[in-house]
Amino acid sequence: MTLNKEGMTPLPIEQSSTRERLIKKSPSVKGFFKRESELRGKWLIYCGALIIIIATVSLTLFLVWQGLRVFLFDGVNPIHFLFRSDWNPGDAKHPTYGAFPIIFGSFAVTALAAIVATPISIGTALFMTEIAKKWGDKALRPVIEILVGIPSVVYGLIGLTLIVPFIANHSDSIGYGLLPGMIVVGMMILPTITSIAADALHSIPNELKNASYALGATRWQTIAKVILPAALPSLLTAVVLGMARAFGEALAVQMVIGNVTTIPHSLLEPASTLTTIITLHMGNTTTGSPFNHALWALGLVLLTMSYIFILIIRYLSRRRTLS
Amino acid sequence: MVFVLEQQEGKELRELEPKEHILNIKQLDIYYGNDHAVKDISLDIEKNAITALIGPSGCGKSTFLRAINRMNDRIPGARCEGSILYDGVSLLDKEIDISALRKEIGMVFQKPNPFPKSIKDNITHALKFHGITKNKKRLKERVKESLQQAALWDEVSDRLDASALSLSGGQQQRLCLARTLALRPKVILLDEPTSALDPISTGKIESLLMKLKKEYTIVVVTHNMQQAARIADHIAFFYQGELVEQGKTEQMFNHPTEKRTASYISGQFS
Amino acid sequence: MRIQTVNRIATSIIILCAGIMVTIMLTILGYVLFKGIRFVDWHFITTVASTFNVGGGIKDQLWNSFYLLVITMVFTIPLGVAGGVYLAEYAPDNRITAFIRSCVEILASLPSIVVGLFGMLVFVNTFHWGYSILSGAIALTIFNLPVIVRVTEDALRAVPQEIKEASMGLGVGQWYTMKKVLLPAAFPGILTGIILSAGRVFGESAALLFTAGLTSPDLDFTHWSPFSENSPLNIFRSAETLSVHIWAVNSVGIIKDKVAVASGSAALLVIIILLFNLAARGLGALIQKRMTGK
Ligand SMILES: Nc1ncnc2c1ncn2[C@@H]1O[C@H](COP(=O)(O)OP(=O)(O)O)[C@@H](O)[C@H]1O
Ligand SMILES: [Mg+2]
Repeated sequence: MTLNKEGMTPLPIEQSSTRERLIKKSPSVKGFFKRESELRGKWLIYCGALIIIIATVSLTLFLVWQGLRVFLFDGVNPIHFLFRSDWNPGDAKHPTYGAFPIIFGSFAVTALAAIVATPISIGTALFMTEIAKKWGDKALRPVIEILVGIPSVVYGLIGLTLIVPFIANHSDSIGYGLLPGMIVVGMMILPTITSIAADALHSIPNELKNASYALGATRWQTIAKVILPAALPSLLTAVVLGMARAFGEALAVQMVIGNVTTIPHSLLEPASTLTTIITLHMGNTTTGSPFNHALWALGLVLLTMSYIFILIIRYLSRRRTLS
Repeated sequence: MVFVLEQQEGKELRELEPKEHILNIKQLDIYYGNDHAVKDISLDIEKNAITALIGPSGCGKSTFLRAINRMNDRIPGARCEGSILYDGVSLLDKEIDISALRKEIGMVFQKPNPFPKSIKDNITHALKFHGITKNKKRLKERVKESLQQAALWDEVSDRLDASALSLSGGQQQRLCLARTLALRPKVILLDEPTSALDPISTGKIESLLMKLKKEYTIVVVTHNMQQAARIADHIAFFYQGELVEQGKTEQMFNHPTEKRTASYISGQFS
Repeated sequence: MRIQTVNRIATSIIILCAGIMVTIMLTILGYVLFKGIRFVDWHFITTVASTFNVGGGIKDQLWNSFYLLVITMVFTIPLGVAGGVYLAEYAPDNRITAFIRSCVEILASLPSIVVGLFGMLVFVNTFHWGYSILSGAIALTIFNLPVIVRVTEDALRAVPQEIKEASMGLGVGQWYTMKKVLLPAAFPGILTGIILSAGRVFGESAALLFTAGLTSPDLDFTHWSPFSENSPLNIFRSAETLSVHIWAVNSVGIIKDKVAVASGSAALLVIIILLFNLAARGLGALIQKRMTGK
C-alpha cells in the first residue's frame, strides 16, 4: 500500500537522479561501453578456459579411439597384445602383435631410472635443506634449472657418443641397451625429483626438527626419524612425477636402447620401449594398416599409463593434505 | 577552464539541497556463513560530517563499513540483510550498479595500497574506466586538483611519473585518498586509514579529513580514541557485532549512557 | 660413539649426492660445449644442411626452430594467460573449475610424444595439413599451454590482494582491473615464465617428429610471401627444427660428418637455451625494479 502510494507521488528531482545514477542499465552510452568491455573480457577469459578443456578431452578421446582400432577392426586380441612376446607386425604373411617386451622395456627403464635417480635426488635435496641451509639452495637451484633446460635430444646425444661407447669398450656387449637407457633417463629425471623433494623438505615445520635436536638427536637421526617420514608423501609424489617423465621419454631413450623387441635378460642387452617403437615406425607405416594401428595401440598404453601416474599423484597429494 | 569544469560537474554531482542524513541504515545483519558478524544495526549518517566507528577489533566495524559500498559482495558466503538507504535509494537492491555506487561512495583502506604504477596513473586509472574524461588536459587538471585536495601536490608535483611505490607510507595513503577524491564521490569510507602511519602523517590525514568534510560525508573506522575525539562529529560504538551506542562526540565522551561505552572509552578494554 | 659415526657417514653420503649432481651438470655442459663449439662457426650457421656430403650447416633448421617458437607463442600466450586469469580470478568454486584444473594437470603431465601423436592424428592426417609448421605449432601449444597457465595463475596470486580491492573499491570493473592493474603487476613473473618456457619449446623434439616433420623444403630467403612453397614464412610447409635435426642425423641420417653436425647443433642449442634462461632472470628482475621505482 505504502509502496504504491510512494510510486504515485512524483519523485523529487534530486532523488530520482541518484536513483538514475545508481540503478543498472541506465541508458547512458558511456555505461554501455563500460559494461560491454567488461563482458568482452569475461568471454575472452572463458574461451581460454574452454579451449583447455577441449584440448584435453579431444586429445584423450581421439587417441583412445585410434588406439582401439587394432582390436576392433584388425582382430587383434588385447590379451595377446599385452602379454605375448611375438611382436612382428611387419610380417607380410603372419603378422603377430605380442607387445609384452615393449611394455616390459618401458617399465624396466622407468624403474631402473627411478632407482638410480631417487637416492641422488633426495640426497641433494637434503643437502640443500638440512646440511648447507644457508647457501645450498642458492647454489644448487641453478644446477637443477640447467639440467631441466637441457633438451632430451642432447641427453640422447651424450648417451650415444659418450655412454654407449664407454660401455662397449668395458664389456663384451655392443653398448646399446637397458644400461645406457637407465643412465640417460636417470639423469633426465634427477632435476624433477630433486626440486620437488627440496620443496617438500623446505615445508617441514622447523619446530618438528628443533624438537628432535633438543632431545639430543644427531642430524642423521633427525633426518631419518623425523624429516623423511614427515615428508614421505611429498617425496613419493616427487618420485612418481620423475617416473612419469621417464615413462614418456622418447628420443633420448631411442638413441641408446638398441630397439630390439625381445625381453632383455641383463642390463647390457638391448631392449625397446613404447616410445622408441612408436618413434621408429610411426612415420613409415601406411596409415590404416594393422601395423600402423598396432603402433597407435602402443600409444594408447602410453596414454593410459600417463593417466595412471596422474591418479597416483592425486592420491598421494590427497593423503598429504589429509595428514 | 577549471571554473567551467567545476560548473559542469557540479551540476551532475552537487545538485543536492542540504539534507540531514545521507545514509540510513536499518536493521542491518551481516553473516559470513554461519558467523553473525553484524547484528541488527540501525544508524543514520549525517551529511557533511565525520562519523567515527569505534570498538574493539573483531567487532564488525570493517564489515559494516564495507557493506555500504558493497565490498563484501565478492567474499564467498557473505550475506547481507536489512536495508541501507543512500539518498533514498536502497543500496542492497539487485539493480544497483555497483560500479556507479562505488564511484559515489569511495573507500580508503587500512594499509596504503597504491597501484604499482606512476603517481599520475594511480589517479587516472579509475577516471579512465568511468569514462569521465579522455582529454589529456582535463585528466591532468583532475590529477592536480585531487592531489591538492589530498595535500600531496606540493610534494609530488615534480615527479608525477615516478612510481607510487617510491612514496613514503603517509604519502601513499594520501595518494589513495586523492585517487578516491578524483572521482568526486559524495561519501568517503575510511577503514583505519592511519593505523599503519607515523604520528606526523596521521596528523596530516586528520587535518585533511576535517577540511574535506565541508564537501564530503566521511565515515571513518578508528581504533584510536583520541583520534575519534579530535575529528569526529558523531561516534558509533560497536561491540561484538552490535551497535551499543551512538551520538554526538561530546555526549559520547562526556555522558555515555551505556556502561560498556564508558569503560571502552576510558580504555578499560580494547 | 657409533651413533656419531653413522651420522658422519650419512652426512658424507648426502654431500656426495650433491657433488654427483653438480658433477653431472658440469660434465654435460662441458662435454656438449667443448665437443661441439669448434664446429660452430659462421659457415655452420649460414649454410644449408647437406643430405649426403660433408660440410653441411644448419641454417634452415635454426630458422625453423625460431619461427616455430614464434608461431607457438602467438597461440600459447593469449590462451595460457587467459586460462591463468580464469583460474586466478574468474573461476567460481565449482565442478567445472575443478575439471579445468584437472585438465591443466593432465596436459602438464602427458609425455610430449603423446601430444605429438595427437597432432599427427588430428592436424596432419584428419585436417590434411600434412607435416607442417602449423601442425607443429599447435602440438607445441598444447605441450606448453599448462606451463603458461600455471605461471600466469601463480604470478597473479602473488599480486597483493589489497591492490585488487583498491581498484574494485573505486568502482573499476573486474576486467579493467585485470587489464590495467593485476596483469601489469604480474607481468615480470609472467614474462620470466614465458621466456623459460620458450627455452623448453625451443629444445622440444618428440612432439615435432610427426607434426612438423623431419625435412624442410629448400628455403628461399629472398622470397617472403607466406603463401609460396619455399618461403621461410609459409606455415603449411614441413619444418625440421634444430633439435629434431640432432636426432635425425643420428637415427635416420646418412651424412658422414654426423658427429660434427650433431655436436655443433647440440652446442648451439644448449647455448641458446642458456641465453633464454639468463634473459628470463635478467628481464624479470629489471622490470620489477622499474616498476617499484627502487
Ligand atoms: N572475510 C571474512 N570471512 C569470514 N569472517 C570474517 C571475514 N572478515 C571478517 N570476519 C569476521 O567478522 C567479524 C568482524 O570482523 P571485522 O569487521 O573485520 O571487525 P573489525 O573491523 O571491527 O576489527 C570477526 O569475527 C571476523 O572474524
Ligand atoms: Mg577492521
